[in-house]
Order: sequence, then C-alpha cells, then structure tokens
Amino acid sequence: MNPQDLHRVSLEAPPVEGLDSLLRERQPGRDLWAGIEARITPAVAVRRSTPVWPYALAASACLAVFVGVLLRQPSPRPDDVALAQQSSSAFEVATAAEGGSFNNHPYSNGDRPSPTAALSPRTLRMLRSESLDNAPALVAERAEASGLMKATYAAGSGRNSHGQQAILRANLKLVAQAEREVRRALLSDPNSASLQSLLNVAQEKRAVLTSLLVHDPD
Amino acid sequence: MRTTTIAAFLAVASLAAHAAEPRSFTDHRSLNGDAKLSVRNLAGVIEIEAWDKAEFDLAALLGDSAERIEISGTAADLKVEVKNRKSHSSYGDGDTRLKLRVPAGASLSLDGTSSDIVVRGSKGVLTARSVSGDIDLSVGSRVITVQTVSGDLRLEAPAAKEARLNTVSGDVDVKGASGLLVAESVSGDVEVEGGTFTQLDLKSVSGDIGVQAGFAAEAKVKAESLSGDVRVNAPASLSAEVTMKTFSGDKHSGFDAARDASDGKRMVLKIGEGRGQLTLTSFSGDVTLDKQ
Repeated sequence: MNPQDLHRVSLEAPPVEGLDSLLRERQPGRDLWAGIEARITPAVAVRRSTPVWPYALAASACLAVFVGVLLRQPSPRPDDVALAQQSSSAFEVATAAEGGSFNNHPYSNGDRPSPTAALSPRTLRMLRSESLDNAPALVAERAEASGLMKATYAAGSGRNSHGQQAILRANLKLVAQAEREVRRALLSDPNSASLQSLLNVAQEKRAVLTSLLVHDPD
Repeated sequence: MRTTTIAAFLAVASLAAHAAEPRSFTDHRSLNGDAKLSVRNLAGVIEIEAWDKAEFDLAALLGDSAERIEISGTAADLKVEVKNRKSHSSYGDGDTRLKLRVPAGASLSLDGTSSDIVVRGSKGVLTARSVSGDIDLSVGSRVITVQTVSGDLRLEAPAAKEARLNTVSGDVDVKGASGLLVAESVSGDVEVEGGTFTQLDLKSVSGDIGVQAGFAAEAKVKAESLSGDVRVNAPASLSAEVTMKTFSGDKHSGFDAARDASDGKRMVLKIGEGRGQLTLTSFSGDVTLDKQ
C-alpha cells in the first residue's frame, strides 16, 4: 500500500483511536512466509488437478473435422475413366486377336471368362431409381459379384456429387460391358445389322457418359 | 479456455442448425403463352404444372447446398437456375424443390443432375435431361426429347407425334404416344403401350422390349435387343411384313400368316396385305408376335 492509498483510506475511514501511537518499524517475531506458502500451495494443486486443455483440444478437433467436412470438395477422377477405357480397349483387342474362339452361344458355360465380364449384361441391371440413394452400395455389391472394381463405387453416398460420379462410373462400366457383349455376339453373327445398331447405341452412350464424367458440373 | 470451448460448441451447433433449416423462395411474373422456359436444378425436384394463364409462378424450398435461385430473361425467354455453393456439407438435405406453374404452351427445357423431373399438362415442346433423377411426364406435348443415365422415364403423351427417349440403365415406359417414337436403353426395359405409330425404333442391349400398340398402314417398326426378350402385341388387323430374328432364342407368332422365308434364325411373315414393316430382333432372347 503506497502513501497515496494510505492517504485515501485515512480520508474515507474514520480515525482509529491510538493508531498513530503504534510503532511502525516493528519486525515480526517469527517467519510468517511458511504459513502463507502452506495455504497457497494446496489451492494451486487443486487448480492443477482439473486442466481444461483436453476439453479445448477435443473441441478444436471436433470443429476442425466439422469444418473439414463442410469444405470437402469432390475430387475429379479422370484416371478412372482412362482406366475404364484402357480396360475396355485391352479386352477388345484381346477378343479380336482371338477371333472366333467363343462358341456359338456366347452365354453358355463354355465361354472363356473375361477379367471383367463374368456376367451377361442382363445380370448387370444395377442402377434402378427406386434404390437410387443406395445406388453406390448396390453397385458395389454387384460389382463385387461380377469382379468389377468395388472400391471405385463404394465411395459415393446419397445424391451428392460423389454419388453422381459413382453412378456415372458404374454406368460407364455397364456400357463398356454391354459393348463387349455385343462385340462378342458380332463374332458369331458378323453381318447382323441389328447387332451393329446396338453396338452404336452402346458406343454413343459411352461417349456421353465419358463426357459427363469429364465435365461433371460439381 | 473454458469460454473458448463453449464458444466452439456453440459455433458447431449454430452451423448444424443453419444447415438443417430449409429456406423458401417465391416468384411470380408474366410469361408469354408461347415462351421458352429453361429450368436447371442440380439436386432435388423440378415439378411443373401447366395452367391457362400467361403467368409464371415459382415456389421453392432451397436445400442447404443451394445458394440462391437466379431468374433471368424476359417474358418470352425465361431462365431459372438454382445456384449452388461451391462447397457444402455432405450431410443434411441438399435437395432443392422447385414447383412451377407455367403457361401450357410454353416450351420447356429442363435440366437436373440428380433431380427428379415431373411435368403435368404442358403442351409445348419439351426437353428434359437428368443423370440419376426419374422423369415423369404426363403432357399434351407433340415433340418430346428425354435423356437420363440411371433414371427411369415414364411418358404419358396422347398427343405426342415425335418422342425421343434415351437412358443407360433406366427403364422406359411409354403410354399413349403415337407417330414417331425412338427409345434406347442399355440395360433397362422398354415398354410401349397404346397409340398408333408410323415409326417405332426401340433398342435395349440387355433389357426386354414390349409393345402393345397399333401401327399405321405403312408403319416401320424396329425392336432390337441383344439378350432381352422382344414381344409385340399388334392388332388383329395388322398389315405388315414381319421379320423375326433370333440367334439362340425362340421365335413365336400368334398370327396365321404365310411364311415367306424361315430358317433357324430368321422367320419372315406376310400378314394381311403386308404394307408395313416390322423387324423384331434379339440375339439371345425370345421374339414373340401376338394378337391383341
């Protein structure tokens, strides 16, 4: 307490009788610090026993995750398109090179199984709108059964952009498969105008899907 | 520090509450009876009902991915577009629902990526496109073009004279159209019922094709599938040369007709005067022609 404070106290408080007569330079007769320290230490210890930093850390982590989800951007995956096309082309080349190796009934058990064409197109009707929200999961299920890439389609969820991309990629696979099946049929009936027409349909659809994937509005 | 923690939780709760809250939007203005109207909505529903007023009315519920609705153009050419945020939560309801009432004669161009499209009563030229949305049209339009990837198409259009429908894995279901109809699917079924066609061109790689319709005197009909069945129910008065082809399936005709040619894969029938041309083909499915 400095002299100014003392002066203010003396002005505000009523005078204490005999106060001025006390000795002001008197030293305490014992060391008072030990008692003071003993009282301070437990309080500090109690405060240290309940740290708040874990709560703050948890809250920050939650916030960071939430903000990360909010800001999550779909990543275009042109690689998948390229891979699909490469896969399709590779199989077409292999098929052409082996021309006529399939028997007359391309869907019989005598067929040579292809890496990605274990099922006929008919068994690959996978994307129906009544289960649209579950389409990626459905595709993943069918894709697993048919040997298609499961991971590619399992990533999407619902109607968000990832779901859309998954649907497009799944349909691209489906069309590529249909195209291969038509080509296989053409080996058996090479002069069929109908098969050529169906091949054109599949090719047109593949071009449209590829374009949609490359120019995905999201 | 405790204050910071509480503030962080409050911020998260506020954001979540904000994301879940739908916002409404309305607009009403004049629109010419023969105007061009284009509508674009990425996700949700585009629902259009035609009325006999030269007015445009919009009531919308914006999903959390939508930033705003932009309306531009004139009473002769109007554009409605749902503008979405560049980034938005994957959670919550991102769908925006648009309900529009437009003049019956307006030409419609509707774009949705995952939006369902529903149109009732329109008589103008109609174009609808969606990736995964279903498209359901009950219209009086004469010219119709529809495209989807995985969405189903349902068209009921008694006045249609030219309809072109495309899908990859969706089904196509047509009722009442006539004139020219082109429908293509890769893995979906194609079903056509009613109407009298002058030209019918139906293709599905692995889906079934079914037709129950009438045919004009010199109609040209093609129905082609790779592995699906092809089935046509025609009127008993059918007059056409019918070619039925299948590589490994069965062929069946319910008509008593002279067989012009027949082998294991191909059968040609002359029914009545044989004025029209029906070509029904499946590579491994069955091909059937029956009387209605």
